[in-house]
Amino acid sequence: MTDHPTPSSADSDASGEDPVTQACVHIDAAARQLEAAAEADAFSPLLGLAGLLSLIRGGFDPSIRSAVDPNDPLSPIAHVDRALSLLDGVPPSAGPADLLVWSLRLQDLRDTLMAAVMAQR
Amino acid sequence: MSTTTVGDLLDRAEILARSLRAADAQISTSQWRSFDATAYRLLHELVGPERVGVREQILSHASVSRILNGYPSPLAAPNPQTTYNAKQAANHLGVSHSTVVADIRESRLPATFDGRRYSIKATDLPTADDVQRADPASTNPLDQLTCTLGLLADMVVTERSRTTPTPGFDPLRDDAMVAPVVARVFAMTIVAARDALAHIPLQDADRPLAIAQYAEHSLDALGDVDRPSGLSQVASFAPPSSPGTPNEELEAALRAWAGHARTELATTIPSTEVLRDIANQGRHLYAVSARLATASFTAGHLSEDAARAVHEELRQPAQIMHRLQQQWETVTTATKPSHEYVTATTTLHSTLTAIEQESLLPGDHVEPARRIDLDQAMTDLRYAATDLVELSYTAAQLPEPLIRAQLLFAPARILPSTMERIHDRNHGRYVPILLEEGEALIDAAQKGSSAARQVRATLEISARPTAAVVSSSHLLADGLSRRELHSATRPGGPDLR
Repeated sequence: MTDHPTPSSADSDASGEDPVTQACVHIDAAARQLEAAAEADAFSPLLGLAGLLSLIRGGFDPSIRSAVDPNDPLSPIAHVDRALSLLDGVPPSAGPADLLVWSLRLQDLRDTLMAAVMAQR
Repeated sequence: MSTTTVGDLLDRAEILARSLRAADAQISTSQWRSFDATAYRLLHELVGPERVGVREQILSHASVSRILNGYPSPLAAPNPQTTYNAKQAANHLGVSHSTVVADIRESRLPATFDGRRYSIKATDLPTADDVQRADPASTNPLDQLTCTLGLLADMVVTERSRTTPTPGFDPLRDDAMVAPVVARVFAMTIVAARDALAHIPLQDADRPLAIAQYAEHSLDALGDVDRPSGLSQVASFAPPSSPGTPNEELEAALRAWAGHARTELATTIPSTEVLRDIANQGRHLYAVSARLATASFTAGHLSEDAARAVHEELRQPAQIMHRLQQQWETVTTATKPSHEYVTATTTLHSTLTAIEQESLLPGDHVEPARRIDLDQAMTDLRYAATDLVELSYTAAQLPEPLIRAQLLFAPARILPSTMERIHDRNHGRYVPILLEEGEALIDAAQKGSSAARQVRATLEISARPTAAVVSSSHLLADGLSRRELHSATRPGGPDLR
């Protein structure tokens, strides 16, 4: 088990990690941003979404976390979109056997996330 | 609402037993035998296996076991897995202990010997083969009573086979809680036997007479059992398979999530992602409970004090759960969450969010199809709070053994640096954490478990009649005994009586 303290910024895609690992970093970064946006309100609806993102990231790989990047230029939706794009690029024979299922879950959650972000505005 | 408690079934059974007298319905010997076998099965499951460990418990249980062992030649084995010792087998066969021992020694009865006692499979004992199951569709009150007792027995089996314990609530291993239920079953047995004596052919009357005499004797032998039993609060759920209303969706989602969470916690090496999600889902459930309490006040179902108390007293536990999930985030067992769990928790999240966004809108803005029965929703969430007591307690037991077994990992870069870890640090590896490095997690998990108990107590108190509803802290300040508050924290599910 190897640690992947990959920066969560947009530059991280060029870090040389495999696409699933990079996708996990983006998912974790999105979750962290949602948590920060909840501003320590334990009743915030954003925390539930952050939890689901972390759970899905754990489905891809439980050992990957993103490093906190205070200057992260991407929004949570943008991170999820990057993750989906990376996952779509994984060759059919590569990646975990249930990659498609986790990707589908992430896609479903992306729509919920979009609605939640719109509601926050 | 598709939730039934042991207390509900006992009440229904007693109403049916009363109706036996009033209905004066004809019954057959076959119907009586079905009741006879079911009553024994229920008693057998209630009494359960022998105790080990604490001497007082062993002695207390022995007296209840002795009463059960006196059941006159049971007509059928309660379940195929049952085993008996020689004395119990003798009671079953209606012969002496020495006869059974002689049969075993002369190979007429298969048995194993562990150096202390014989063990005989129930399936190896000759039993009456003409005991038929009661017809669930029958309108005869005795058949209905038999079916109700059979359901009770099934609930007891399910409760006993739970893989995750609930702290401070284990009524089936507490003879003081089992005895009152056993007494009620004996009372109903006497009534049913008397009814059978009046209706079945005389040549078959020996059996109900023997059972009635046995039940009367046993009722006396149980002694003073006139007290409420926590066992009555044990609940069984049958959520709708195709939920249509928001309430049905909530119930189905909660039951599915709780079931899958239990399964995940029972795995050899649970996923820390799931442990984290349980804390997160608990936080979400408390948030929705608080919103429902506010809506209940608006609808006039809850006093303003009670609604405010629930809202205030749920916020802190929600924060504790949030901190707990942050602690779980720092470690991993490298086990992935199961797909079934993720589906269940996603569905629950969607259902709770839909309730918040569509069913709890102010005024008349709620679409008729999305209207929610607030009382029913609060009842479901109180059951979920009970589930969380059990789940958070079980989860709080996990960090220490996982750490001791070197199964809880964290990136070497975030752990204190040691000579042994330099290599792992440089190579970005995960390493097992030490016990002292897991102290914050252990502490957060225990606080989460306590918070779950506190929430359950708060929700229980809020469910009491409006006049009595004030916050638990006020109750303590105003003189409510700690014992009463403690009883409200017993995690057996909401009292539906």
